[in-house]
Amino acid sequence: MTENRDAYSATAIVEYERLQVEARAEARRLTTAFVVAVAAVAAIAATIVAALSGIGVFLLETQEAGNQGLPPPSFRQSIPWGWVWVLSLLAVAGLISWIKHQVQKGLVAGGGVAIARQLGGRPADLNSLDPAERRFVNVVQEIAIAARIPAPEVWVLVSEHGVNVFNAGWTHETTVIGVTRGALEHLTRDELQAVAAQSMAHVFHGDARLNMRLMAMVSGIAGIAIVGEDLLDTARRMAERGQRGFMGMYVVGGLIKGSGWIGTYAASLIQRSVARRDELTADATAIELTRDAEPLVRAYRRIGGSRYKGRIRHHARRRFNHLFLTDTRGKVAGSIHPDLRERILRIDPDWTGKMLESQRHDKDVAVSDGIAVNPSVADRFAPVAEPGTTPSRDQELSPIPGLGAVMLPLVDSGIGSNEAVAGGFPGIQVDFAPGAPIPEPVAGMAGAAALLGAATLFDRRVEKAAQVPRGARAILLGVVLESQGRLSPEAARTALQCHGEVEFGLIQILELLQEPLVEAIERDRALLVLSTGGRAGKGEPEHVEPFYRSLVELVGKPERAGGLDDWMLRELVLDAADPRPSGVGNASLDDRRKDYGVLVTLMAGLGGSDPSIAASVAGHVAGVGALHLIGMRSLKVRDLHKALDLLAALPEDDRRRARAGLAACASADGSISEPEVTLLKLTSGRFDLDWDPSLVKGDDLGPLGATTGVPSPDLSRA
Amino acid sequence: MLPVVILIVLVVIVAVVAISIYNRLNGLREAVRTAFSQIDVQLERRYDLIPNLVSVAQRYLDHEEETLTAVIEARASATQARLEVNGDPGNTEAMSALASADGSLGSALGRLLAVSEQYPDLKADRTMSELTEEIRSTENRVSFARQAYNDVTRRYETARKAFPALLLSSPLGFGEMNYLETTTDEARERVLVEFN
Repeated sequence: MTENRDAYSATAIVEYERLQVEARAEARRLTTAFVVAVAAVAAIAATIVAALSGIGVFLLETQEAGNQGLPPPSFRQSIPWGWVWVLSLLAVAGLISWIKHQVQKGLVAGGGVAIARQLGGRPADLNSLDPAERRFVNVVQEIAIAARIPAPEVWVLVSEHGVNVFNAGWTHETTVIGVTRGALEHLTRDELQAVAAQSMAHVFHGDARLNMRLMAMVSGIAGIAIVGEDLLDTARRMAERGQRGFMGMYVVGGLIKGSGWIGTYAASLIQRSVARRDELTADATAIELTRDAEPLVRAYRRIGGSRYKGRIRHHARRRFNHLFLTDTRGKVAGSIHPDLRERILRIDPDWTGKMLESQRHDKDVAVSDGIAVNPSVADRFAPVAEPGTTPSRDQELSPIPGLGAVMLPLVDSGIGSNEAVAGGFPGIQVDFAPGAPIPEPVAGMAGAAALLGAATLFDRRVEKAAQVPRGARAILLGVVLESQGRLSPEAARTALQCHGEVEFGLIQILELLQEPLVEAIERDRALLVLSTGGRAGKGEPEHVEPFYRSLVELVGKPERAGGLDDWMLRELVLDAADPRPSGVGNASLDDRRKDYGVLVTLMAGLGGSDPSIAASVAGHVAGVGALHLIGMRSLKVRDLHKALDLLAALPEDDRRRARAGLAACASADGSISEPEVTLLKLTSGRFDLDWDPSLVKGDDLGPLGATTGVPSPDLSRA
Repeated sequence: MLPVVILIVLVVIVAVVAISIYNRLNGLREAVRTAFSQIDVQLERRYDLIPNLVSVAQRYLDHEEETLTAVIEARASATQARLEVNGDPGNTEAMSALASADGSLGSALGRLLAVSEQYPDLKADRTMSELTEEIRSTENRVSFARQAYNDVTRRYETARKAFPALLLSSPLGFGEMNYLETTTDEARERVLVEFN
């Protein structure tokens, strides 16, 4: 287990050291060339400026002399050409430096963390239950020890499926290393170590600083081209106004712009060469640090063989492409990055050219693909595992029948970490304290984030849409519909249009969603959509109704013989989506005792209480006296439906009493379980009464405390 | 007049060279000491983790007394050896004793982890799998720390033995630093354990 680094032959180390030295020397040569190019451009520009100012002054003096009747001054002697040239050079150099400084200031601000955030990352959770993340953090710290530098902060790009790593930051202390979800899943431990070492090699060599200076300098030279452009504009205006000398101005402007443009081009070519050379050096350094070339080669082969390679979806990748291990467009070779194949051959000249098919190595990852359930949420509801057994994945993700944990982050405020939610949507400030109500836009996003999780769709338009509830819902719809396949395209298109975000047409969203999402139970997704506030009828445009109706039907149809829990949840959501009228009858609770008895039976059955006690408690609180309960075994779903319908038609007062009776029955045995709370909520919804948390006072309220059970979907968001 | 000037110039040059050599060697020696203390840190971490590992393993490995005992004993001697070295990488004897004891511990751990592969209950235990990753990481850290130490020691030794530094190193008080090589026996015995 202790890998033997001492046995690595000294000659091999020397070999890599030599390669590195060579590479650094070449980088230095390139940098010198760069400096020369810049100086040349500056000199040319300065000469032009000097010539012009000299000529200008000369012409003025000649004119003066002519006015005063003196002989014209000599061209050579009247102007101190030397000084003029020096001054011009200083002026040009000053301009370039100033621009460079400004650009540098802009690039440096914020350090590595700012860049990582802009890419949509979140800090790695050091106490994460996700073994892959912890493994990566460990791996980074190990390399830091080998390189004798402080360990950089680790960030994770949770929504990226491509295999890539980046490093950002200017100093050893402020550096950040970021890894994609795809890398965590597809690379083995030693491969992760190799790519981490490669990334940290850049930090080690201070490549970021150099590259940044070069880029800033390129901008500086570009400034000259801009000056030239300005002069050309002036010339154009002079020509229009018919002023003399516009030809001269054209020539001058053209010359300056030309030299600036050539300079910029040459300098940026050189800068790119330096960057490429730095990448190859980093490869060599990584191998030296890990004392093993094989994992890095394997990692490159895996990237080459994978579907998405190093592709980064987030739009910020254009700005930060050079910070990544491989090209973020998902291509094998980029402008900055050397060809993957070339890199492999340099390390392993005997390579046959075959790439590796990537497999997932994250069998022990706690997060399911497609649905990012914050592990701490799943944990709170996972059944207690017997010591020695591993809870199965199904158990972890759907502890509550029907809706599963997906809905909970949506509605139950305070669950889960801010990062987990915000991690799905970069740039969105999520700031809520546990227990506080989730502000509206966030709730919509939280739901979308929870469902989408690892799916990536960071198109700028989509990101913007996610910030409002309607947009988030539109995205959610797209997600649901993509896997449904059952609903007609027209209905889908209609649905999306109804949300007002016409540009987020289904086609666009489907195009963006290229990752196939995990096959969740269709009903679950439909439930989710309904629960985010989509409802059939009231307030929505006419053509939307059929769409939601079909969703409701889908939900209403039991796919399998579910239990009572299932039924209750379904009723809960259906009622929320399609509220039926209440309080239209003339009867009283007394008249409906038999039906009330049915409900009480159910409640007693859920809580496991003694039916006679339940009957007397409920009857007493509801003010109807003794109740007759049928056995649980005789309870039929249609009886329940009938009971609910009839009771819902009672006057409000009676409904309240009925509910109070049920609540008393639930807490009669001293504890309230989740199913009991669910039934109470269902009753409240069906009876059109506001939910009252005091109904569920009890000693044992399950893992959630007062919010146990499935909360009713919030319909107030239209 | 001239010979005096030349003499003074020579003395100045020698002084400058001596100072730069001193500074360089001093910097490298400090780096060696820092690298050694890094090893120390990682060793301590590793020694601390082992009792946890043993106690979790004990629950499941009823019949593997020997293996567990070997680990416990190796840990004890390694801890002792570490104390003997007392932060001084120049102490040749103590350093080689540490290297040897540490190597034995590594092998014993490897055997324990290999054995635990055959107990599915132990393997499935979540605490165990977390611990395994931590142990693995710690072994790597010790290994890398040792590698970093050897790297910087090599640079120090190379600088120390180069000309003209080698003339001045003894008078200036720069002694030899020892590499932390493992003994040949343990070193060649690579225990390869594949996890998942």
